[in-house]
Amino acid sequence: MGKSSKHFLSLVLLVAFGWSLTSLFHQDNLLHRGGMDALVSLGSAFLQPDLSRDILDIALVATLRTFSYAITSISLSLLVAFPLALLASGHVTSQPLVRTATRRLLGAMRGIHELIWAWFFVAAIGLSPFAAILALAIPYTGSLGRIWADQLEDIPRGPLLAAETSGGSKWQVIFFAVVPQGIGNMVSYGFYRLECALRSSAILSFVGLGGLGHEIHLSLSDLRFNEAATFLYALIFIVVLVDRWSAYTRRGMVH
Amino acid sequence: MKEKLKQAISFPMTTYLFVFLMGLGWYFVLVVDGGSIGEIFTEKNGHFALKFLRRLVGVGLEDPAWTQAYIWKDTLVATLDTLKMSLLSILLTGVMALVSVPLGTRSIAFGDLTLTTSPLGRFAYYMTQALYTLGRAIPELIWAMMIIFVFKPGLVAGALALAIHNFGILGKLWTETIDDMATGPVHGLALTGASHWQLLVFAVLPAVVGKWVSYMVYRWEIILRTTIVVGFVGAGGLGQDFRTAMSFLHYDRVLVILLTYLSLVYLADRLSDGLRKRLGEP
Repeated sequence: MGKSSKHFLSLVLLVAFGWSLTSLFHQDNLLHRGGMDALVSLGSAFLQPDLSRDILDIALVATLRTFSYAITSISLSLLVAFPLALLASGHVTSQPLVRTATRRLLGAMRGIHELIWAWFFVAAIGLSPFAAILALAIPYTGSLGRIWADQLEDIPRGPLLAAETSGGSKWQVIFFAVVPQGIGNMVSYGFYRLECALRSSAILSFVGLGGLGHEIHLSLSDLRFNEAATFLYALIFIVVLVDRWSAYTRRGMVH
Repeated sequence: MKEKLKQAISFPMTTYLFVFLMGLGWYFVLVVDGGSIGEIFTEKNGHFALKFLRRLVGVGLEDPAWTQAYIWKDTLVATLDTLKMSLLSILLTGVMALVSVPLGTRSIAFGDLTLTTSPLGRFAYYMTQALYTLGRAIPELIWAMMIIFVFKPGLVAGALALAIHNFGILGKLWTETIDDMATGPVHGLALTGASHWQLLVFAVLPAVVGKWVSYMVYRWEIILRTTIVVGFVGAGGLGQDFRTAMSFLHYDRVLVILLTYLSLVYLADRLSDGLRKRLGEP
């Protein structure tokens, strides 16, 4: 990047950020009148979550539901994203049209946020668990397919050429030279998406689907902050659990 | 090394675990929640879906939303608000990450990079990483639900909710960049007697700033996409308009908002790709 274009970019960014700061002066008062009190009660609720038997039971079921929606939708995404990623990576066919078309399709799938997909599915098929699963699976297929395609494209060419010149068929090359080289990064990204799916599955409650987000929403609306804290801790717990699982798997694959 | 291996899971083991959990998930969805695939493709649902699509494009309406200039104008104003929110949010994210990164980087706290370490520094490292995890684990929308108890609903509240979540992500990415950088030049400077802050500003920062900006651009793109979600709790912009239109069943208006949103996301995608390519970073 040249020096003058760097200066230009900096200038554009400065102006953009300056413009964004004007939103601070849109409202007379940024805080509610009782905003500080609310902050204190939210904060203290975090220190004493409601650990009564009833709430823990609700939390357990909600956690299972959130987790189930996440893992089932990811399982669908993996299935669909893998062949699409192969097509978009250009290893299956060198037709540029196929590659571009697949990438466009993946782009359209992830262009719309999962919560909006959810809203559409609820409008179309009602409050079924499948509304949640499909709403997550579509944009996640888009992301997985796109990133996996990039990862498969970026592999070292050596082993690929070796497999080709030794007479391997196209599919042999793909499954013995292409995929094994990309699999590490692909698993990493898959785990990252599972972690994202947990969080997204928790907010689908906003359109009326169950899970941890639903419970958090209800508790917050009833101003029962201690209950909300319990559910928040449950969400943090499963997200961290998946994060650890991912880290240990990556470590295991390196050794 | 042995300690490390104990905390590793082999790939086949992970696969079995995943398949088992997947079975558990499908069992919960199909049996406990009583979902059935058949119920999606009923005649009634087909009817609803068709009706929804027809109303989206405004079939049967005298003047569907996409023919009316004032609706496009309103949507454009909301788009500018959305853009403003995303910029404010990434600015806040950047500031919070910048302040926390010197404390939250492992190779700085443990002295692998800077050659000095202290118990207080190591404690600050764990605390900062815990904050990153907290920010990351809670989705933007739930942060927004809590924030509107304190802040009045609006662009600033939305930007803050997005910023807290992204602070957790950007902080993690930025500190990892420092952990991965070459230690040579920093050690060299440290041995000449440079202070802690001199090291950070003159040796660490120049080495990582390209990657940092690149990560920021990437997060900005995602923030822009997510502004529509925090708009649902009244944070303004396209999300709020979307929610209002959806609640009033003005589906033809939803279409206008959705088309605008998609174009915005597409443009941001192109801009971010272009910028990152020019920066020559991931």
